[in-house]
Parts: sequence; C-alpha cells; structure tokens
Amino acid sequence: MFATRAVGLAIVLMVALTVGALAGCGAQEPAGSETDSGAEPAEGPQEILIGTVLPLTGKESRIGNYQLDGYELAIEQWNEKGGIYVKEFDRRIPIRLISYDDETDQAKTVSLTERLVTVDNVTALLGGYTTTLVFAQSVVPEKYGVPYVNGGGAATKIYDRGFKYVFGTLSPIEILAKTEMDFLKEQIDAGNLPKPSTIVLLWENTSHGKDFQAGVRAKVEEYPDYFEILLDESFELHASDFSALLNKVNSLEADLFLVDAHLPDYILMHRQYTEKGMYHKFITYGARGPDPAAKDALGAATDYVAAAVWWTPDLPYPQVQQFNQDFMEFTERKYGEAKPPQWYAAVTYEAARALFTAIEQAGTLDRDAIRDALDNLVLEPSILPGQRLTFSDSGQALNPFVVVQNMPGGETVIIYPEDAKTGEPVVPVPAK
Amino acid sequence: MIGLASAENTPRPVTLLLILVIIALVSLPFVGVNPYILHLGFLTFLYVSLSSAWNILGGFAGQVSFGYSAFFGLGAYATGILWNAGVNPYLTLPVGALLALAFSLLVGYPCFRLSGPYFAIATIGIGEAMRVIMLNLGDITGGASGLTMPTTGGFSKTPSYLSALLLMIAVLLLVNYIRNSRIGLALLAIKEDQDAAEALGVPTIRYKLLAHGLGAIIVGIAGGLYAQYMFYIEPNNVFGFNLSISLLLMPVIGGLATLWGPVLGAIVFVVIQDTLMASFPHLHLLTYGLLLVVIVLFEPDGLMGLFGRLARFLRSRYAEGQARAPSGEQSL
Repeated sequence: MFATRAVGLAIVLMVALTVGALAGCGAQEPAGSETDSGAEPAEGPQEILIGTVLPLTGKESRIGNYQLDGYELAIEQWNEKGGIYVKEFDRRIPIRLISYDDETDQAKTVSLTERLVTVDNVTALLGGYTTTLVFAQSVVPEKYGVPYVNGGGAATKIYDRGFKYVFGTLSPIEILAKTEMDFLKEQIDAGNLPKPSTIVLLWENTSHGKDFQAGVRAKVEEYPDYFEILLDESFELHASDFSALLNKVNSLEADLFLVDAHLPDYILMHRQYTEKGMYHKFITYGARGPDPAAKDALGAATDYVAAAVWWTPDLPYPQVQQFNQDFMEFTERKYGEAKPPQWYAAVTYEAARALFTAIEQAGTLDRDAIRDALDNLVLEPSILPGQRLTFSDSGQALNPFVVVQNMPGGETVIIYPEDAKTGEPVVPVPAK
Repeated sequence: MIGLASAENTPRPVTLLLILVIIALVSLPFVGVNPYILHLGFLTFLYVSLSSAWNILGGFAGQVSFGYSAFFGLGAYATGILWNAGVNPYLTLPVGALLALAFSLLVGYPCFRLSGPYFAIATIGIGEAMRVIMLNLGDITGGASGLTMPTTGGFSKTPSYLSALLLMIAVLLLVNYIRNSRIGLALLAIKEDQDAAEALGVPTIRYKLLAHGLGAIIVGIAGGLYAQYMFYIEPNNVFGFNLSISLLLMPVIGGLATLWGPVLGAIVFVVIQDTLMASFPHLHLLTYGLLLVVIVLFEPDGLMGLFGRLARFLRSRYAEGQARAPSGEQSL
C-alpha cells in the first residue's frame, strides 16, 4: 500500500514537473519580435531579437567570450543609431541580443539554439564557436528557416551540406594552409629556406584539421620540387599530452613545423615543444600564434611563431584602426580594462554587421527576405582582408588571409602578402 | 496481461491517470504546441528509456556500469552510416540494437567475471576505448569531424517524438515484466548476495548477460533515434563519458530497482537542465550534484524512497485523525 501511494505521489510530481516545464516554454512571448501569426501592430515590434549560443564556459570559453564581445560591440553601435532601419515599418528598431552558454557541449548547443528559435522566437541567429559546435547547432536554423551568420566555423564541411540559411565570415581553412604554403614558396625562392624544404605536418583530427592537411598537400603536389612531407599525422582535439608525438617529430630533421591546432592545444603543444628544446626553420600552428593568451602563457617561447589569420589589428585600413579603438573602449566599459582586439572578435563583429545590413536591405523582418539579402550582400568597407565581405553560393566567405609573425617584445607583424606587409619575415627563425 | 499499472499494484485511479497521460502525450504533436515542447518531450522520453535500461543491470542486479555510452554510440553510428548509405533510418534501428547486443555479450562475458569496483573500472575502460577507436576510424565514422545525416527528408519533429515515446512505453513495459518475473527475482538475488544466489542455482553470469544485453538493445535503439533527431553525431559526444555518468545518476536519484525511479530521475534531470541551463548554466549541475549528495546520505532509495516515506507519514496522520474522530463525536 505504501508503494502504491509512493507511485501515485511520484506520478503526480512527474506530471507537475512536466507541466511546469512545458508551461514555462510556451508562455514566453517575445518582447516585440516577429511572431508566426503575423498579427504585429502596424508600427512594428519594439525590438528585433537576435540569438546566439556560445561557449562562455568550458574548454573554449576564452574565445567564446571574445566572440560575444564582437557581437555586443556591433549591437551597441547599431543601437546608438537607434537600431536597424526597417523599411516595412519606416523606422529604426533597436536590437536585443539573447545569448546562452553551451559550456562547449554539443547536445546543449543544439538544445539552446532550438530554444532561441522556438521559445524566444528570435528573428535571426548569430553563430557559435568551434567548428564542431557550429556544425551541430547550424542544423537548427536550417530546420526552421532562420538566417544564421557565424564567425566560428571555417571547415568547408559545414557549408557543403546544401543548407540555405547558414552563412559564415571565416574563409576556408584550406585557403589558410595554401596561403602559408605560398608564403613559404616565396621564402624558398628568396633562398631563405632549402629547396626542397622538408615538412612535419600535424593536424587536429577534425574537419578543421583535415582541411588544413588538404591545403598543405595540394600545394606540395603543385610544387613537388619545393616541398617534401616527412611526417603527416593527426592528434586528438583538446589532447592532454603531446610528448610522444613531439618525440617522433624530434627524431626527424625537418625544416618546417606545420601544425593546425586550436588555442588550448597550441599552448600545450608549444610549451612541450619548447621544453624539449626543439627547433625548426619555420613554425606555425595554423590560425594560432599571435593570441595574447598564448603570449601570456608562454612568453618569449612564442617569438617567431607564424600564423595565417582571418584578421589582424595591424591591417592598414582606417576602418580597422577605428574598430581597434572602438573594441578597446567597449571592453574597458564592460570589463574595467581594455582588451586588445583579436580576430575572434573581429569576425563575429563582421558577422553581426553583415546580418544587420542584410535586415536593413531586406526592409522587413521576414526571415526568407533576410536570407535572400544575405545571399546578395556586399559589405563595404569591411574590416576583413580585402575590405569586402560577400558570401559564396555555399554561404561561406572567401576573403584572403594574411600571414603574421610574432616578434621579440610581444609585437606581431604582417609578413604576407606584400601589399599588406607591416614588417619583414624572420625566416629561418634564429636558433635559441 | 502485465501492464504498467499492475506490477506495482497500482490502483485503478492511477491506471486511468497513466492512460490519460499517454493519450495526452501522443496527441501533443497534433494540437499545434510549441515545437520546443516536442523537443523537451523527445529528450525526456529518450532519457527515461536510457535510465530505465541502465536500471535493469545497475538497479536490479547491482552491477554498476560506466560503459553504456558505447551502446549508445554504436546505435547512433549504425543509423548514421546506414542512413548515409541510403537505408531508411527506421530500418537502421534494429541493426544498431543488434550491434549493441553483440558488443554487450562480447564485453560482458569477461567483465562479469569481475565484481564490485573492478567491474566498474573495466566498463570505464571499455567506454573510453570505444570513443578513442571511433575517433580514429575516420574513414567510417568521420573521426572527430563527426557524421552528418541526410537532411533531404525534411526536419519534422513528430516522427522522432512519437518514436521516442513508443520506445519509452515499450521499455517501461519490459522493465515492469522483468520486475515481476523470475528474471527480476534472479537479478535481485544477485544484487543481495551473488554467491548465495549461485549456491541456490541461479546462473548468475547468464542473468547478468541477459540484463546487460536487454539494456544494450534499448540504448542502441535510443542512440539511433538520437542520431535521426540531431542530424549530426561525433564520437566525443555519443561515446562520451559524461553520457555514461548521466545514465547512472538518473536512476540513482530517482530510485534504483524500481519502475518509476528512473522515470522520475530522468524527468528531474531534463526539467532541472531546461529550467536552469538558459539562465544559470552551471546551476543545473550544482543542483543535480546536491540532490545526489542528499540522496546518498539520507535516502539511498532515491526520490521514490522519499515518496514512500511521505506516503507513510500521510497515512499515519490520516489514521491518527480517524482514531480521534469517534472520541470527538462522543464528547458531543
């Protein structure tokens, strides 16, 4: 009898909990966002709701917060003008960002993106970070037909699924690798590196890393007299130790150390690389190198590390200098101390600008119209290399990369291409 | 017929309530509810099925396994790979279930010769080994890049929601059957004292393999449904250790070796996660952790044990009230 009563009580509690949760998600009517019913007042919504899910805690929290800063800065600047001008309502409408933290977890990123669309009823989405999480969450906007612009996913696999609502400001990793290889070929031609130069190629076992590997290999095949690969090996993302892999590398006398890694792996691997006293004539970790977090953690060990990046604060464009100043002022207001601008924030800033410009050009909050506007968008002047942002048919931007190199004293200079140079490359790097 | 209501001597009002709840749940997708409700429903049904599956071996037989994510991942990847090869995703579910079953027998036979913490440690190793193997089988599994499902068939939630609901009902009926059959008694005997059970003629290894296999089939099917619903899977997620821990925590919090304990644990898990995750990302873990500590310290039978106490307390108060009532009438 007691068990029966316990079952009864348990069922009542289960129903109550479930009803409570369901009522909670059904009750939230967005403050002025567009609704499915289309029963908006003639003057339109009071706010345009934009959603984002980022890793604000967990393994990738450092970068997730940088990316959030980029979004928030763009929104602050548009709201200072009164918001986005929407022709349909003939007025500017302020933007409100709803951001959630996925804790760098795939299942949570999907759930929270789902929540943004179905409970918060956002008009459009700004994307998350890392490639894997963007991969997972980008299914949701496609499912519901919500425009989605991200600055955190660069792997071509994200964009070759035929999705119509997914856009990204990061150019493909394959182009990143090819840009570095073009730079190296130039150095070989200049006599700074041996011909052929031997390569150790390490890449994280993700689509990001595979694209890097493909880019390097494509150039090796294109210039067989210039390059020779001695080792081509993958490693696990967010690994806890690289000693065995580095011992293997150390046993080979390669000229070039070409790695594709995310920030935590770059810091760990380069720490172990330095502790082992290893040396190569050229060192790169793909897009990682000038990151202040790495410089803080490793100090002078990051000197001469090169990287191909989607953006750098040293780009010689007036709009970039303006962004640098705006970003430092914004972070000073937000955190009490100015943060140096990094590419993580610059690409999300551009993602947000692209989305808001598309909404303005669409002249309506209709999601399909915004998507079409993104498809035809030309954002000029952009702060990205090339100063022009458009999206290819797959939805991915195809802006060029710049190669940067850390110099002693903490400075980072652009060393490639020629027309963007702010310093001379140091190749081969001096032995320590 | 053994139904959900009969096994725990559930009286007619509760049976009626259960039938009404099931009818309401089935009709939800057809009454135009917010899609997020269907999303939460899908996750809840999936977690109920998973925690009930773990409860068969972990709760009834007392064998604590940390390796159930291996079955989940196998089911998910069977669906992912076959669906991409053009097979109807629903036809891939039995394949995932069979794969998981085969794997459970393969690892179960040697592991069940271990007991207590040694068995638990072995299952951790197996779960992690599967994750690493799948990460490195890039040509088949996509490695850490994961596997994307075909999206050409559209994104309707209703089929996934109803499939997960059907799975949950089937799992609860199965657990109910086990609980009231010789299998359940044998498993409980193993939990109480394995040597004594063996001495009384219970083939302990066979029963443990049976419980492990049944759990694997359920978890394998659930993995396939998850892959269908998410459209994207990767080894760190579907073979992840976190998943194995979640599967263990839900029945522990709800109540081990009961029919409704894992259900309650799963609902509390999803509700706490959903309510707190959006506003206080880490609070749901803290809440769940606190709940676990309180239950382990004060109520080892979980929330179901707590409800049992509450029911006894209410009954005794009611009985006291009844006893006082006649004397009151006399005084009048």
